[in-house]
Amino acid sequence: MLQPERLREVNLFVLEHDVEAVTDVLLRSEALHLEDVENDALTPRRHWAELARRAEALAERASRALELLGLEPHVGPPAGAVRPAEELDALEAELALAEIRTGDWQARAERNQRALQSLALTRSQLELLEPLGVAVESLGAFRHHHLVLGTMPAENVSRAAAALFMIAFVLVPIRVRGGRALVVAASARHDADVLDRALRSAFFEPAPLPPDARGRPREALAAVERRTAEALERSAELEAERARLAGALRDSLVRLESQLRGAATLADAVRRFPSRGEVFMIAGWVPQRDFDRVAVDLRAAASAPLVLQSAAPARGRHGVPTLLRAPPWLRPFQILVTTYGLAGYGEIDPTLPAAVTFLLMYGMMFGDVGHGLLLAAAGLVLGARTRTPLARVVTAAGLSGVLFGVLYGTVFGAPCLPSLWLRPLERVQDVLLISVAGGVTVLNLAFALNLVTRLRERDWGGLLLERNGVVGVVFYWVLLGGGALAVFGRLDVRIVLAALALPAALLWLREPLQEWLAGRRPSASGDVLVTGFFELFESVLGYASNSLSFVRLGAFAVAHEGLSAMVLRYAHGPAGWLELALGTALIVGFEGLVVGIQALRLEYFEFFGRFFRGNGVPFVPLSFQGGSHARLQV
Amino acid sequence: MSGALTHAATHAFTRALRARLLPAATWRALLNEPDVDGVARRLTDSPYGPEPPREPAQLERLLLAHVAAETLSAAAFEWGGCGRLLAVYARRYELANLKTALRARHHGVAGERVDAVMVPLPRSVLPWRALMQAPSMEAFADLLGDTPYGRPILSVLEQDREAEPFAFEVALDLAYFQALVRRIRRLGGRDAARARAFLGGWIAVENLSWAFRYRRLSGLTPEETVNYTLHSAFGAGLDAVRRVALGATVADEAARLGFVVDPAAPEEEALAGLERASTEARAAAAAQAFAGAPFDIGAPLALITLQEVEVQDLITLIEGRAAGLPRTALAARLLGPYARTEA
Repeated sequence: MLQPERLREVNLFVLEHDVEAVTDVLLRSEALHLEDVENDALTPRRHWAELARRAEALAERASRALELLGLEPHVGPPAGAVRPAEELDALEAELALAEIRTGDWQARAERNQRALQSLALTRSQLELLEPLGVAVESLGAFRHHHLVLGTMPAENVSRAAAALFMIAFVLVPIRVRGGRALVVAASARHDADVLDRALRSAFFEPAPLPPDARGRPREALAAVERRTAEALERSAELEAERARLAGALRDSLVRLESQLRGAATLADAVRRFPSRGEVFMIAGWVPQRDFDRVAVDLRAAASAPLVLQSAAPARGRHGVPTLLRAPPWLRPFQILVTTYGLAGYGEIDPTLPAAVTFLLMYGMMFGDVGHGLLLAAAGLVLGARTRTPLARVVTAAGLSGVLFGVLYGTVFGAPCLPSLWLRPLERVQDVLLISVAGGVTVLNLAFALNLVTRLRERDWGGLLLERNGVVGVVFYWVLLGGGALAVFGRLDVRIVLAALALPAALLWLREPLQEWLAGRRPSASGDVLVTGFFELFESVLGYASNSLSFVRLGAFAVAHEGLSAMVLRYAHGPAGWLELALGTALIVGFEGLVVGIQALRLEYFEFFGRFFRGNGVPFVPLSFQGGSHARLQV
Repeated sequence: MSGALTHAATHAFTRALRARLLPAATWRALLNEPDVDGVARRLTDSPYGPEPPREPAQLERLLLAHVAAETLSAAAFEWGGCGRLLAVYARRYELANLKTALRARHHGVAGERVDAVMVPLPRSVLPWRALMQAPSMEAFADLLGDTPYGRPILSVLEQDREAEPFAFEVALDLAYFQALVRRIRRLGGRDAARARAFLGGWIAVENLSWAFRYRRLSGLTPEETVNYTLHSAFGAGLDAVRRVALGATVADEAARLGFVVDPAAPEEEALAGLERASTEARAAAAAQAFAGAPFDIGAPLALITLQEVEVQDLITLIEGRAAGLPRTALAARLLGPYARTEA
C-alpha cells in the first residue's frame, strides 16, 4: 500500500510470423507498458509503420461511413482476432464495396444539399432586392460606384468597417445566418481595390447576383420557391433511403470499423518493436501479479517457441512506470497526491500517510458533531450527484470532524456532550502546544519517509547530508530539544551550540561533500561556500517556522468553537432559527473549505516537500483503447 | 463568496507549486554547467526530471510540455469565469501545435518529423496524426469538428478553398486571442485588474508585434493589417494598429505602453526589446503577486507567468550552451528575477 505495484521488466523475442498473435494477446491483456528501445542494431520495421498508417486511414474511412449512416461504432476490443498483415487487403476490399453504396448515396445527398444552399442564397439575394422594381440583370452596371454583395463571418463585419478607415464607403449587413452575415458594400469606383482588399482580408465571400434569375425580383422569387420545394422532397426521399442503407450495412460496417481500428492499433504497436531479421523484440513492464497469466496466454498464442526474459527492475533503474496499488477505500484520497505529482517507481506512495494526516488535521480544526455530520451529508449528496472522488474525501473529513467533536464534546457549538479530551476554548494554550507536537510528529514522519526513500535508492549523499537527511534530522532534534531544555534552564546554551556545530558544519559543506561521496572532485569555491551558508541559515529558520506552522491546527480549532458558540448565542428571537441556519451554513461552507485548504497546505508544504518528488511516469499499457489510455490503478 | 473560496484554494495550490520553481542556487549552478549535458543532469532532481533528455530540441519540448501541463492544472483548480479564462489561455500550446500540423499538412512533411517538433500534450484530444494526413482542408476542418478551432478554419474555407496556411493561422490566432480578450472583459473587480496586468500586457505586445511584422515583413496594406490584428487589446487596440499601419515606430508605441525602447534600433531589434521589456515587467509583477490577500486570480496567473519565464530561460540556457555562449552573455539574456543577481 505504501509503494506502487511491483513490476517485472520483460524482454520478449518473437518470430515475425507470430508477432501479430502475440501483440493481439498483449493488447487484450492491457498488462504491458511498452518501452521504446533505442538500439542501432535493432531497427523498427518501416513496413509496419506503413501498415499502421494505411489501417488508420481505412478506419477513418469506415468511421466516416458509419457517421454518414448515423450508426454507432463498436466499443471495446475487436471481436475477432486482429491480423493486419494478412487481412488488410480483404478488409479494404470489403470497405470499398460498402463505400460504393454509401458513396453513391452521399454524392446525390450532397448535390441536393448544394442545390438547397444555392437556392437559399439566391432567395436571400432576391429578398434583398425585392423592394426594387427593376430587373435583376440590370443591377451591377454602375459607372461611378463599385458595389459588391456577399457573405462574411458575422463577427468580422465591424472589423471590416474599422479597416476601411482611409476611404468613404457603405457597408450594410442585411441578415445573419449560420454565423455568416449577408452584406452589401459600396465605395467610389477609384477606391474599389481598397474596398475589395479590406473585405477579402475579413474573409468575405462575394455572392454574384443570381446568374439564372431574370426579370423582377418578385417573379424570380416565386420560381426559386418552386425549385426549393422540389429539392426538399428529394431530401425526404434520400433520408428514407439512408435508413434502408443503414439497416443493410450496419453489421458489416461496424465490424469493419472495429477490425480496422484494431489493426491500426496493432500495427502501430508492432511498428514500435525493434527487430533484427525475423526476430522482433518487445521490451516493457508487466505487473508482477499479471505476469504468469500473460506468459501462459503468450505461449498459447505463439505457433513457435518464444523467448520470454523477465526480471525485477534493478535498483536505481530509471524510467520504470508507476502503477498505483490502493484498496478501494483509499483511492479517493489519491486525488490529494496526484494533484501534486505521481510517485516514482522507487518512491513511497504517500497516499495512506497523506490520508491519515489530512483527516486528523481536518478533524482537529473542524471538531464538532453537528457540523461534521452536515459536512459528511454534503459529501454524500455530492457523491450521489457526481462521480468525483472528492465527495468521499469530504464525507471522510466530515466524519473526522464528528470524531473530534465527540472528543471536544460539542454539537453545533454547544458543549452538550461530556468532553472526552478537552475543550479548545477552555484550554487554548494546551491546544496550541498539542498542535505543535502534532506538527513535529508529522515532520518526523516526513523525515522518516525521506530516509527510507533515500536508503532504498542507495543515495548516500542525500541520506546523510540533505536538509531532510540524517544530518538535518540530528540538527533539527538538537535545535528543538536542546533549545527547549535551554529555554527552561535545564541545559547550558553553550552545550546546545556546541552540539549544533557538527551538523551545522556538515549542512554548510553539503554540496562539496556530496560531490566527494559521488566520486567527483568537490568544488569548494567561495561561491559554493556562500551559497551553503545561506542555505544553512534558511534551514535554521525553516526548521523553526515549519514546526510552528502547525500552530494553525490549534488556532483554527479555537476559532471554530468560538465562531460556533457566537452563532448559537446570538441566534434568538423570532428569526433565531433562520440566524442559526445561516450561521451554521456559513461555518460548514466557508470554514469547512478554509480548514481544508489549510490542511492541504500543510500536506503539500510541510509534509510532501520533504520526501516526495512526484516525478513518476504513468503506466500506459498497450491497449485496443489507444495509446493515451493511462492506467494508474490496480 | 464561492469565488473567494475557490481563489483561496487555488492560492494554496499555486503556492505549493511555486515552491517547485527552481531556486536561485540551482540557477547559479545551471549557469556554471559547461554544456547541455550538464544542464540536463542538473535538472534530474527537479520537477523536469527524472530523466531529462540530453538532446537540446527534445529537452526544450519536455520543458514546454511541463509548463503546458502546469497551466492546465492551474486552470482545473479555478472555477467560474476565472477557470474559463485560464482554460482558454491554456490552449496556447495546443494552438501552436495545431499551426505546426497545418504547415506540415500543407508542405507534406512526414508525421515522424513533425512529431519531433510538436510539444507533447497528454491531455489534448485532437487527432494529431489524422490532422497531418488529412487529404484536404475540408477534412482537416471536419476533424476539428466542434472544437474552438473548427469555426475559424471554416471561415477561411468558405472564402477560399485553396488558401495558404497564413490565412488559416491568422484566423486561428484571432479567434484564440479574441476569446481570451472576451474572457478577461467578463471578469470584474480585482480579477479583472489582475488578468489585465498579466495577460492584457502580453496581448497588447503580441498585437503590436503582428501589426509591425505584417507591415514590414509581409508588406500588407493598411486595411489588411487592421483586419489581421486585434481591435481590442488593452492599450494596443484599433487605434494603435491604425497608427502602425500608417507608419508609427516601435519606440512610439512602446512609450504609450510605458516601455522604453531605443528609437535608433532597427525595427526587428526594437520589437524584440519591447517583448523582452514586457516579459520582464510581468515576471517582476508575478514575483510580487503572492504577497497579500489571496482572493483573486493573481496567484495562478503569477505562477503561470513564472513557470513560462523559467522555461523560456531554460531554453535560452540550453540554446546558449549549445551555441557556446559565455556565462555572462547567457546571464544577461535571462528574464527571470534570478537574472538580476547573475547578470
